[in-house]
Amino acid sequence: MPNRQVAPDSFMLKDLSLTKPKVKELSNGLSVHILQDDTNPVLKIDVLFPSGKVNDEKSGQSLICAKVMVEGTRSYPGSELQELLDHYGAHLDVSVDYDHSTVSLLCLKEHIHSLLPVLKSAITEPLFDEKDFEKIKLQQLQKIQVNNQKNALIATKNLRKNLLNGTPYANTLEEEYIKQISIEDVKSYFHQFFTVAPDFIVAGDFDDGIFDFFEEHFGMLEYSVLNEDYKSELSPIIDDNLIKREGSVQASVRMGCISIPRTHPDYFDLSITNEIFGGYFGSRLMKNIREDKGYTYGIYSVLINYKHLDYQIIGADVKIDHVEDTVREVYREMEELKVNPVPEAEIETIKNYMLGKIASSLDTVFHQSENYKSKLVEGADYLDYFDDYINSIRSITAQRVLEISNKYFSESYCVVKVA
Amino acid sequence: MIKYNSFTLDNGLNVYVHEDKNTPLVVVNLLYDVGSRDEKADKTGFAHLFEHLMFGGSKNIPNYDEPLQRVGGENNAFTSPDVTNYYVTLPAQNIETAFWLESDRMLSLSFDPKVLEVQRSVVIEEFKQRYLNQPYGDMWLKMRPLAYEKHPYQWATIGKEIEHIENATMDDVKDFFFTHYRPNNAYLVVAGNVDTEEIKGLADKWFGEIPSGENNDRKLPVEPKQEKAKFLEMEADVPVDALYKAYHMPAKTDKSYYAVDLMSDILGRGKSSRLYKKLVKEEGVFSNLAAYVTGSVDPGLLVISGQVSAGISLENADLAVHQIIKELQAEEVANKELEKVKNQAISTTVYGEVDILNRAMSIAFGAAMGNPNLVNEEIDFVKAVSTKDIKDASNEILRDENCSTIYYKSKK
Repeated sequence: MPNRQVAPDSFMLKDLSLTKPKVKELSNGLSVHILQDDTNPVLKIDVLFPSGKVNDEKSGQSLICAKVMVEGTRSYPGSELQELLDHYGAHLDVSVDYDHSTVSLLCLKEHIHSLLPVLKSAITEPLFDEKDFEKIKLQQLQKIQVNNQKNALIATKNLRKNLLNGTPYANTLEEEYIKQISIEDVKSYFHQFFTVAPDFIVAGDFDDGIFDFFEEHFGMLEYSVLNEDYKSELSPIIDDNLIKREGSVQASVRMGCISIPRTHPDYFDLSITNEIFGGYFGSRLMKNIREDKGYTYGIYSVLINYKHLDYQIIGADVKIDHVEDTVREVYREMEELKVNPVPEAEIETIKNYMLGKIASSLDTVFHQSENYKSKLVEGADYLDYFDDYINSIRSITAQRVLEISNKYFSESYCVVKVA
Repeated sequence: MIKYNSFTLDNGLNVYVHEDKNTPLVVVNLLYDVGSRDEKADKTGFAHLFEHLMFGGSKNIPNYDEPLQRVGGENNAFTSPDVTNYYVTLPAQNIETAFWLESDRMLSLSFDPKVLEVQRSVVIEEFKQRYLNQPYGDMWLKMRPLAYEKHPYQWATIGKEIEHIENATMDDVKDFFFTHYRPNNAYLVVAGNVDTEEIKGLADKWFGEIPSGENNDRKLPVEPKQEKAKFLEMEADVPVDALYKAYHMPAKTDKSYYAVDLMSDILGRGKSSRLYKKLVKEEGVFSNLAAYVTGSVDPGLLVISGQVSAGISLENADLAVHQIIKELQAEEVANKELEKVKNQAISTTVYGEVDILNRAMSIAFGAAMGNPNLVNEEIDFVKAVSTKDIKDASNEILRDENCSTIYYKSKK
């Protein structure tokens, strides 16, 4: 009979073995970042453009532009583009965030020769058909209408409006803005921003033959360099808002403050401290608000980093009559971290937990390429970043968590409650 | 192709090992063959509430999550109408911790009254967050009882109503545990950087002494063949009208399942599908429209759902969908169109196999349905479907008398 009272022996995770990325250049100077892994006959190609919502003259412009790009192209008009992709069981997707836009192709390796021309066509010669444009616009409008009925989204949106006030990061999609966008706006966005040199990030079963094929398709394209002219004056509106909504069965709470970039010397330690505070299932906030009080299904605190701005956001959907209580408890948990050192057992737990989490977030080549992409975007060296992060986790102490808590959990928080 | 070895302990626990030396991690996936279909009609939502209680401490271990986090592990679980599935990912060298934790909560829970009280409350907030406080969030709460009259698929996994969760007692909890959470009702899959021999030793050491339960052969009521079209019109505070149509279809274990699944893809999977291409892209009747199958173990549903464009009535949108269905029923699809949906199905399987957790779950789901190798055989089932099978399936399934329709109207 095993002794069930005592935990089995355990071991700290050894160093991670990350696939070393290779960077090759096409003859026009574009970089192809390669994460090679032939375990599965699958390829994912991300074309990463250095522009996004921050570059919108009209809010929603970049998003609608990207979505219309993959509706139809000159070489593959009408439904041809989608027919071809579906025929090969491939996916061509676009995503637009504040600082970047990505066009991604996911396919079986055996079909890459039929599909790379489709990817090229989408990023170089979209059709911008009027009907496709109207359809995408309508879909976005309906999506906004649906989202505007979700307390959680209303809360996040209003928090960003206040906290990030004065910057383009405060802009959110609204019906009235989308309605004003014309097809000319979309075309002009394309000509200005999708003509700026992108990076290619390739993950999966890649080989030299496919690189030659890349050269053939993308090596001759002409691209410009982005004109960086980010100007804005951040002036957070720090207050406590209550937004009333008829018929709510649950309240949403969001709290936020401005934070530090990933390049800041305190960043890793703040990230670990935040994990203890509200980053995982065993965090202080989860234990208190969910597991002890049962006010919520989940509560979290995350650090969000953009190119020009960083913030921390705490959020939960809670029982309507416990909104104030929840806010009070969040402050109380911050105070607790500022006054009392975290017990050694909890430090041990967070160390091992975070190392395991990093390992599983890097487990497949696709996970690695997602991480690689985000480091590329932030201008950080991928391998160094994880080495430094892991070192910080291994060497964090209760004293350091106390210092960091005092330094960063003393901000005035902007609060939004929707109920 | 996902390779695995398997063995069964004396107490009936089925164990499957998928070795993959390329990862530093291991996944331990434990599936209990119990879902919301096994609940009583007056105690719904229980299988899912129970899933929450499984994290509230076991006989010898006061807290499940902490010891796991301490060795670098993460875990989660979900409940469906068919099964309850628990999974852990952790560094391979710490695998014994997962065996210790999982076996102790199979041996016995702590049955702490405070845990029951708090988790009842957490689940009620989950009910609100996911089903009541979301536009269209209550659709399945309405569709299930409309489509099913006898089979327990008539209630959603979260439960029929909040009262059922509020009324759960500790006796209910114990009874449920000792009926369903026994080794002979469970499937354990270990996938990752491990050796089968090592797992045999660990399984025997930690799970071997747990007593078997009674065989619970379920005798669920069979849903009678639907004889006439069903219809529900409802109004809610949503921005746009939506149309939902659900047709009864064969179980996942039925040979004809794959023809119906591919037929639903032809109708409504992706932007080149018939419904999307004609009614969203070309005619703009809907702003989005899709078809999919629930893929349940007992006979499930083929669902067509979409949001209607402004200025178009639900009646006309419904007629437009009918027209597309009629075309599908009248003529065999072209080989190329069938090949497309087969390619979509096959590539989805290959993409899924990149992730080790998906591989582990696929083995577990197949095993619970009586065939752990199902994930490897499915591609052949898909390939075997003919254009005639699709036409037959469309005439058999897509009949008005076999359909439940909801007009979900915007209150404006």
